[in-house]
Amino acid sequence: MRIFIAIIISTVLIFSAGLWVNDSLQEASDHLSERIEMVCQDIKSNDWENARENIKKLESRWGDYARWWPIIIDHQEMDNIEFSLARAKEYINEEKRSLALGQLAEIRLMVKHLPEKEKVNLKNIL
Amino acid sequence: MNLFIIRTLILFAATVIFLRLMGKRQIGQLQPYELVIIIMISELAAIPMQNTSIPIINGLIPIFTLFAAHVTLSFLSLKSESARGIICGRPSVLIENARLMEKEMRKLRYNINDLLEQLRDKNVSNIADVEFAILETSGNLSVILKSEKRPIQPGDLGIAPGHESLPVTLVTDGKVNHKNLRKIDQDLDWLEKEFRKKGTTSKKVFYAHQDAQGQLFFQNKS
Repeated sequence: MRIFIAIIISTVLIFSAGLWVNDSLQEASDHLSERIEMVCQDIKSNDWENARENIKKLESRWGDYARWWPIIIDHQEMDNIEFSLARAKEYINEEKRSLALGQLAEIRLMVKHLPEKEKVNLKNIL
Repeated sequence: MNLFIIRTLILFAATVIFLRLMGKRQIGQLQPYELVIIIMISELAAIPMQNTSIPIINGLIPIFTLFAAHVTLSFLSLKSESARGIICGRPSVLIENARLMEKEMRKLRYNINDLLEQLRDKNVSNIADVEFAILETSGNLSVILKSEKRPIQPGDLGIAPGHESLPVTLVTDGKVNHKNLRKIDQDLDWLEKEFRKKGTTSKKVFYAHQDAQGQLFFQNKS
């Protein structure tokens, strides 16, 4: 019976941790998407100085998340975002408008995809 | 490289712990659902071991889930007869009073050669000697011979042999097992005295036990 109680407690803990992780991932993804949108707006209005500033902030925020995300997310996906971020930063530094916007759109999609993949829904289950 | 070693050790430890908690049955005695769980666990542990891109937790949580499922199913099959029938299946009688149960064998897709092989494995060469042959849920065949064909037991001859218990190990590789000494109501002084009588000490003894008759057996280290 003791093992049963231990299993029930562990299952509840794992399930709660899963819900918390999903929630945190969604929140982080929303936050990063907002930052990406800000950089995009700066580029569209040709405000390269602000774009450089905001991409640095985005990079630093990503660094904070990247510390604990590998515990739950495929490391390959994390690497892909990091590579894309480095490319986007370089395009902004070189003021390459279309390349920078394209790269940021890719990052936005990848960041949005992370919580989507962890969600408990029929699509992911099947 | 070191990462692989650490991840392998973590996954190996987790798998051993969970399998240990699942029980002591051998592969041949596993129920179908237990076999499925064992195969799945080994695969789940192997994938994050080889691929460091996969978070280790992606291997550990499914292993824990399978363990929880196993404990739940075992508990259900322990408590409910009907649940046991669904989860583990039911034993099938293949021979009854030396008659082959053809219908049952067809239902189980169990051919006569398989049955004869299993019977030979149990040292039975003649179906006519068999009272019952039961195919257990684990896949083992239990054979009950006709009363006139089974080996003679002491009870058949009216003999009542004395009580037999297991020998109690007292020393292994020079180390005294104090727990077992207490079990036979003796202490270290008694053991050393017994060894001195035979010209040795516990440190020099490789193995010693006391049998059911109270006789001390020992062998010195070479």
